[in-house]
Amino acid sequence: MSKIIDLQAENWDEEVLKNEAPVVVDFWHQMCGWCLKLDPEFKRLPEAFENVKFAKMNILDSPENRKIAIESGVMGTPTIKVFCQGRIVGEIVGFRTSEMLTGDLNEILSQKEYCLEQSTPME
Amino acid sequence: MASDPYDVIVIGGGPAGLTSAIYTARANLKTLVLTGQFPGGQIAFTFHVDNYPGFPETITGPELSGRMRKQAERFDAEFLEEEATAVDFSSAPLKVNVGDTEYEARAVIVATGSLNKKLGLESEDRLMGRGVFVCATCDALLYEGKKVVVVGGGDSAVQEALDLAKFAREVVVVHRQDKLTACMCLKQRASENERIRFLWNTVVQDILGESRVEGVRLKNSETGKEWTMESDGVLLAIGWVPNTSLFRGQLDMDENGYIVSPSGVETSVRGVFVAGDLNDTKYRQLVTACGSGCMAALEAERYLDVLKDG
Repeated sequence: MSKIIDLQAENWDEEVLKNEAPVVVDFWHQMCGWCLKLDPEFKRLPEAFENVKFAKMNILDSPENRKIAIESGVMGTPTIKVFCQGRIVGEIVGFRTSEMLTGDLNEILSQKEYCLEQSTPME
Repeated sequence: MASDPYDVIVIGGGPAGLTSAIYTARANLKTLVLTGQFPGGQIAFTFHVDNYPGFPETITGPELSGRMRKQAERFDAEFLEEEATAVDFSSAPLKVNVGDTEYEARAVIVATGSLNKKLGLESEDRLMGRGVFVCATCDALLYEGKKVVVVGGGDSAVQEALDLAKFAREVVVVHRQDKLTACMCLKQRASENERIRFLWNTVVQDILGESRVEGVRLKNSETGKEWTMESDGVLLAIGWVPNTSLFRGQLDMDENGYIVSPSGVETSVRGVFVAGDLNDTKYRQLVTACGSGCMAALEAERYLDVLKDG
């Protein structure tokens, strides 16, 4: 599936924090030129990654969205944050082509196993 | 391999280039606009445009530039959202490359606008997007409740400080001179804003922080005193440099990179005209950019008429 999740504060917990799979979130807004430039590049990524979710959050949609971005450490747009079971495991700041993003994400997601291991509660 | 020649190629998709394209396309000149990566130019990053005539209720920059483009397309101007990578103005027809593709034209209008000037510190590149930023419109809302340093003292710096003050708890404008060069209206608004304060005769020596901006190293140029100030962000608004590197060796420029055009919009090469910020060291307004775009287009049209008759 190459669907990009439309993230809002309402579905943030469900789609990102509680997601079993790694989630790659593009924090953006429509007044940011680099964000608009990044959009088509970002939308090419799901084809290249199995078992990884891709999502976009427009930080102008609501004050709650903006608050989540700030709490996630976003300090400029566009910023991509990679979450693994609710933890941030990497970030990509600024415009990148889809080829560059693929390389960046492969590197970040190579930490996934470690992340999953660390995040799974001990029974 | 060259495609069919154009009458006019406009390099640049900001207000100057778009206005040029409206005029040349409307004059039935086969026109190609190379917008670069950012169609719309600087106004595409401006939220409210309050000083462009005809929009009393204000208009957003992206909407205004989008309308300009539609207007040019209505007269069949062609658009390519690609960066010109090389030019050869040494012989006719004039040549403009986008990667391996070469386009030819009988006249060219250069309108590639300006780039943000930087401080020249290693830390500003490393921390760009991680607390260092150049566009309050884009990122001010991420600094809610935070402290931000604005570097600069002109119109842009003060406008950006005002935009930031809507969100940040404290905005410190650091300016190397002892007074603002911004217009009176902006100066007054900034001086009345309780969240904005000023540090005069002060320069930023370094931006501090490993993975995030944590502060700045400052120096008072009069007393020599140096000190460190905590800050969550640094907004750079120290002006602009003309984006003319593509034309180096092809068009005459002054020592600061501005295109030399003593009689208005003509450059040192016949058939190449200049518009917008590339030869404007003084006004740099949206409406003056549009005006010079119009002038460049009219001169290109006259030049092509003479070529045809000659």
